[in-house]
Amino acid sequence: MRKRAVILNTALCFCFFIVIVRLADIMLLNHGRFYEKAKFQQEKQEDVRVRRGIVFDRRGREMAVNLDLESVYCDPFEIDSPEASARKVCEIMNRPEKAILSKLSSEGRFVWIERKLDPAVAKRMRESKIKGIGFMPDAKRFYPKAALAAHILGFVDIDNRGIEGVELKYNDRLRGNGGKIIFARDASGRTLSQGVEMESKGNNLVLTIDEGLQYMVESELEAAVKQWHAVAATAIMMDPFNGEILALANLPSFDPNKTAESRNFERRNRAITDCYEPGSTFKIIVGTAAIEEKAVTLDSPFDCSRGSVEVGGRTIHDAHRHGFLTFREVIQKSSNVGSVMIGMRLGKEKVYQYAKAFGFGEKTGIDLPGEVSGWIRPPERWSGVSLGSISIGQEVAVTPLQVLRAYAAIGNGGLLVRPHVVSRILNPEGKPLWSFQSDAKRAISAQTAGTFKEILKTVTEEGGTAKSAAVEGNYVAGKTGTAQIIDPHTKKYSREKYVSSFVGFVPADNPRMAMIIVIYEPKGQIYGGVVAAPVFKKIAESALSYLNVPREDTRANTLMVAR
Amino acid sequence: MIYVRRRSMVSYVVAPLSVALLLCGIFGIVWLRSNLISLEYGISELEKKRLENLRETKMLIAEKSALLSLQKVEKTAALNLGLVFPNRTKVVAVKVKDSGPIRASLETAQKGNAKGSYEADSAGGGAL
Repeated sequence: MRKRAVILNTALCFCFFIVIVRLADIMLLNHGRFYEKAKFQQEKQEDVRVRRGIVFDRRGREMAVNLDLESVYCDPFEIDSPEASARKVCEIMNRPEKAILSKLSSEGRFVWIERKLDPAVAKRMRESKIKGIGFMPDAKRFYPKAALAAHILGFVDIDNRGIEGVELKYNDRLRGNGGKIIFARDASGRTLSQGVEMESKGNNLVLTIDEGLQYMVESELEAAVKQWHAVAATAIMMDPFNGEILALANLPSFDPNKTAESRNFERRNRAITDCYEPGSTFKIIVGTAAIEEKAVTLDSPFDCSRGSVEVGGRTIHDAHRHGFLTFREVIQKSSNVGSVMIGMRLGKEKVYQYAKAFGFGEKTGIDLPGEVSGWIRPPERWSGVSLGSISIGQEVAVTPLQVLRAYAAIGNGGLLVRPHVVSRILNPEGKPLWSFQSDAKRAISAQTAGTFKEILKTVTEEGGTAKSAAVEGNYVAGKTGTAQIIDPHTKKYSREKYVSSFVGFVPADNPRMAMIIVIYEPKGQIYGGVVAAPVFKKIAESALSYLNVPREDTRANTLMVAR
Repeated sequence: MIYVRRRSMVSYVVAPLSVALLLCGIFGIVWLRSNLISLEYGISELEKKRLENLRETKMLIAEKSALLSLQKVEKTAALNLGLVFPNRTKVVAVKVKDSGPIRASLETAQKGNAKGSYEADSAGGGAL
């Protein structure tokens, strides 16, 4: 009996010894190896889903949002028969088999098959349970308004990095912080909650643009391009008092949801990246300078009866021969001869000084990428012709936005505002993080601005060059521009290619909007008053209705109703 | 003399009770732990559902925004309903007796109608 007990005890001790030795092996001797193995089995690492912030228009309408889609990848090591799997995948995805097969047969443990799958296709793929095929959540940027405001919004690449527009300019603000989360999982692959947010959201942007106004601008611009068979066109609408861009459109345009189908020239934001010679719209410089410097009075006479004037060996003509014109009429009728005479009276230093005061030759500072500064040479580099040419808007390169800003300064009493497209940045919960602080500098005195505004009002009246810009019920102040384009082959001004423009603000005395219309190379007609001014009128009429701006020919305490 | 140690009643109770307490403690811990794990599974499942709902919400927001784009609204309004954008030349002015901000809202109009405070402006020559 005692012997048996000894044997049993010894056997038990031996068994325990074996267990202890094994435990020592696992826990002490080969701890590292087994720890790694266990970690691989029990832990699952997932990327934090980074979601870009939403972009809203000024009324809170979504302009750029995110879609939660799935991307599909394969682990070629796990696939038994690449041919059979490729056939199945192609059937579901409707893709050429060869391309898929090469991915399924490639080296490595992770190969993308398709990024950002359509939800229906992803569902079918998931249901087919093909071995070695995996899914990863992937956000896709979606622009619900399609091509509307495409040049302001810009677009992102496949990895959701901003490439153009506010998507690029505010990329750091829009992008959330990434990172990884480690989950515990069981043998069947089920994960345990870690109680942490799986999604990192970026900040939201509130734009200054208004979807309604943007739509009006784009529709009318498109109609004008069709009507005049123009090569391109640009229109910008801005609040003249604070520089908020209410609408900005360029044609040709593109759909940011389909950037692969667009071409480079369609994606170019001409409003800020393309320079042109402004022509008569630049007469604002000599006009305001002459008033500010008291070089003229409104009724100072200018002899334009010859229809031409000679400057530095070059003869500058008027489009139509005028007689004696007062200073006011020189601007109203856009006389080149009169403007050159004013410029000569001022001298090149003053003309340059006022051009710089209005911000020409410098970037406006708009919060969009790719803005160019344009150029105006310093007076010491001017030729004998330059004073005459610059007085009528030649020998200078400007962007449409620069011209608009200068006219906005006339509308707001002489202040040069900073144009901007983003008014606020909100955190994901909607609390404001940043808002635009207006910074304006004085270009001319309020008195000069007021006087010149009165002259600009006559441009759209009887005898002016832009009667077709007049809006019934409200005064419009503005200026037409018709500029020749330099032919790249002959290096001379083309007789066929022109840039027609109109820039102005409405209602003239208390403007709600300043707007520029630039039509590049219209066919059939060339004058800004014929090509661009009617576009201004149409947009202004719709926009004033949209903004509930009362007509000035009605009493203050009346209600506007449509009948 | 031989002394015989007699086991007291207490020792009969204490030993099994200790064992029972120990076992209960162990099972209690295991039970709590397993409950915790199943709770974590539950939360994990709910999180998945939440993410799925969020995904659907985002899809719906995108769809709503696309459907409400003015291009589509105008198309529907013009083609299906025959509506047109208000023409400013056809807008007439109606006098409002009470001063204050002018808002062409339904609410204001209804209030005004109730009081009878609108009348056609002689300059505009129109009527409500």
